[in-house]
Amino acid sequence: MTNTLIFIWAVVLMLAFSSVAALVWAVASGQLGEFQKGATCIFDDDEPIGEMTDNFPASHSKSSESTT
Amino acid sequence: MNTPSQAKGPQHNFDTMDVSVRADIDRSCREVVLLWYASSVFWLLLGSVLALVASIKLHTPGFLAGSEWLTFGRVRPAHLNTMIYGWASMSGMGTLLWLMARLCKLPLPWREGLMIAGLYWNGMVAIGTWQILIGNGTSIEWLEFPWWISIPLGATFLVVIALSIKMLRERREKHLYVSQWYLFGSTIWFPFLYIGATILIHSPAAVGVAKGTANWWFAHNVLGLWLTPIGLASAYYFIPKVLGRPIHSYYLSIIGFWTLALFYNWAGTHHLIGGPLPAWLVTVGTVGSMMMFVPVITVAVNHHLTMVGNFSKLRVSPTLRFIVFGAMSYTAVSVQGSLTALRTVNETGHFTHYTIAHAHLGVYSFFTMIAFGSMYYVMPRLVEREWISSRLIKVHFWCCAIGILMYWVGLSIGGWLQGTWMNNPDIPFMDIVRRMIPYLWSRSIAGTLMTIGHFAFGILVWKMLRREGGWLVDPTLFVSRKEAAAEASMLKAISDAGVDE
Amino acid sequence: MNRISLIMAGVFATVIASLFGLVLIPSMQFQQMPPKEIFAADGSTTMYPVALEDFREAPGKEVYRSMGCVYCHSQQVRPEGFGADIDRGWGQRRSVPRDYVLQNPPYLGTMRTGPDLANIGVRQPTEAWHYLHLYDPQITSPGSVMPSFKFLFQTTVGKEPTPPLGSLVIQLPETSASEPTWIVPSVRAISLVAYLKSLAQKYELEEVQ
Repeated sequence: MTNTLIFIWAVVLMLAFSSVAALVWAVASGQLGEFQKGATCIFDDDEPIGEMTDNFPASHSKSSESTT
Repeated sequence: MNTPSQAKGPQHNFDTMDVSVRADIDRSCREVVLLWYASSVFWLLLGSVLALVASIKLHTPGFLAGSEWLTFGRVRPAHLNTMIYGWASMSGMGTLLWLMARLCKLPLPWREGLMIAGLYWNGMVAIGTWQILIGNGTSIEWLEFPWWISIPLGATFLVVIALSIKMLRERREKHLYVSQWYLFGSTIWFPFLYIGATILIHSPAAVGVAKGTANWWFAHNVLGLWLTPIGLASAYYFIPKVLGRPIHSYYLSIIGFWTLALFYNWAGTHHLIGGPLPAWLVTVGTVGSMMMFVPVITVAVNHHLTMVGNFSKLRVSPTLRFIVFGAMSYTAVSVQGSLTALRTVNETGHFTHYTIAHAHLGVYSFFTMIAFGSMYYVMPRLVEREWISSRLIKVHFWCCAIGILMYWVGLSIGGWLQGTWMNNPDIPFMDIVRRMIPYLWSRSIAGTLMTIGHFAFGILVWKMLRREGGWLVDPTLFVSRKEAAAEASMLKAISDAGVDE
Repeated sequence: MNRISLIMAGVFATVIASLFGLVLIPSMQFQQMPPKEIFAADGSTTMYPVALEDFREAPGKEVYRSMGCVYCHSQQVRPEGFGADIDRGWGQRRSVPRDYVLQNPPYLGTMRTGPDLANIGVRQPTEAWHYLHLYDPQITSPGSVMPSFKFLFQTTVGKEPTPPLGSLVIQLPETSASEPTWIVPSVRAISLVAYLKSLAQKYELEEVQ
């Protein structure tokens, strides 16, 4: 039982250490630089920011039906 | 939250993707994604019928009782498996492939292979369900298909993983969008979980109760590391894309992804609290569940703050309506899940219909609603036709939304009472069975409502596949683009005037 | 965050860590749990837990699996002070990992639409009760929502049938039907009942406080 606990702690500490290391590396190597800019990569000139790209299909008879 | 200058966004030097490039990508996905989508709708309808049969049997045990194939203990797993592996996985895969192509800005490669994989997957679900109904199910929750189903499943995923790596390596867009992390993660996680759990449970690799923890390690992660990432990837793409507004905080999204990857894994043992497990194992599950507050709050902040000020647009866009419903449910189900892992809550809620209500809040209210929303966006762009009827879309939405709310409320209250009564030894067990009947009826009624919604959706998809809708005038936008703009500005005027929320 | 390899490494690391923590380490722990010798008052010893015998009990477990009993019945007794399992008479003590080391797989269950079955072999020791209950739960437990498993029996109305070797005949209690009704359980029903009767966590173990 104590062996198991030591093993678990070793694994936990190793995980914690490697995640901190990964974070330090990510910041140092600029993986996070200009990050917010990435959020705009799903837009383009044809479907730019500020324009909706979906709505209810227009009814062919009454076009005002699409809002309820 | 954005000031007008921010809303414009920084002038980026990404490759501009004009209409024709995007139309080419959509067209490259057409046959493959439509096959996965159409199959998923078939399984959705079949799964709904199985669900109703199972639900009715719980309050009227004489219903279809003569048939061995349709005994409750077989119909229930048949329902779960057709829904998870037929409906949710197949619609998820369709969305996954389309999003990958769009976000990598590449036409979908290996189309023949993916068509074959789709047929293969259908065969696998059909054979697996049939095996459950004839009595060859494993009675391991969420892994009821016989063990050899893991072979075709693994083979399909080898193709999908190879395809994902190929597309990510050859991508034309330098930035990996947050949806791609989730999608890539899920394609690796799911086959690993499925094959790993199958080996652990059907071989001597795990002993005794460890097979139980393997079961819940798997079952909890099918939702957490397969369906949830696809659902979140869809929400991360469609909410900003439909609104025309970048995600609120992109930094938060990276924290959300890695904390989900770190903590969700460990939450599964909360299904065994109070069971014959070493105490530390249960504690780990509870801690994992509590830590889930981190990714959930980051995702909630991101999705909901992107939506703030835009709620009027839920009236305009079917996609947004379904996806925002799903995203809100994600917050609700995750908070409920973390709380359920607390020992005091678990003491009452465990072993009751409360858990069933919670599971449906996750798989249905969150994942399925997002899957519907995604399909409303993707299918017209593949077929290049409009949806045939706004009214049917609204029928679909309201039946499902009211149905799932009724389902959740009825079974949560009923299940909680059931747990309270069970923990009081003075109430005979048979009295509890009798007192539960009205709540079980409420589930059958809610389930009927949801099934009606599913059939409305089935009609829409059928008409779409037969190309009966109006033409899309330009390749990606609906005919009523101008109307929509006019409508949106009108709605904005109304909401500014304070008439509307 | 533009590196695929980084995402892939992280994705694998997280899931493998939980696989070790939740499954493989506990499994190692259970592997070191041999069956325990129980000394009876008359000097005889029994090994606990007891493996299912191959003739009826093990096939009976397969019937339990095939019929999906696990979707309404659990097989685990919660500890004193956590729920009312012991007060309800579902067991004399809580269940512990050692009870399950020979079960492949254990059907712990997550739902109690019906009562717990961890000790059903002790609680309902008569075979006739089990057969009548499986044939039609309304006979033994009026108001039950358990499905009937009539398809596991042969029903005869009128004259008492001769059962095949190793089987038996049970007369249904007098109902509105004018003629007496007899049921003969199939091999599957006999196996299932043998399995249910084997379910008992009756020995005191030192790990149970």
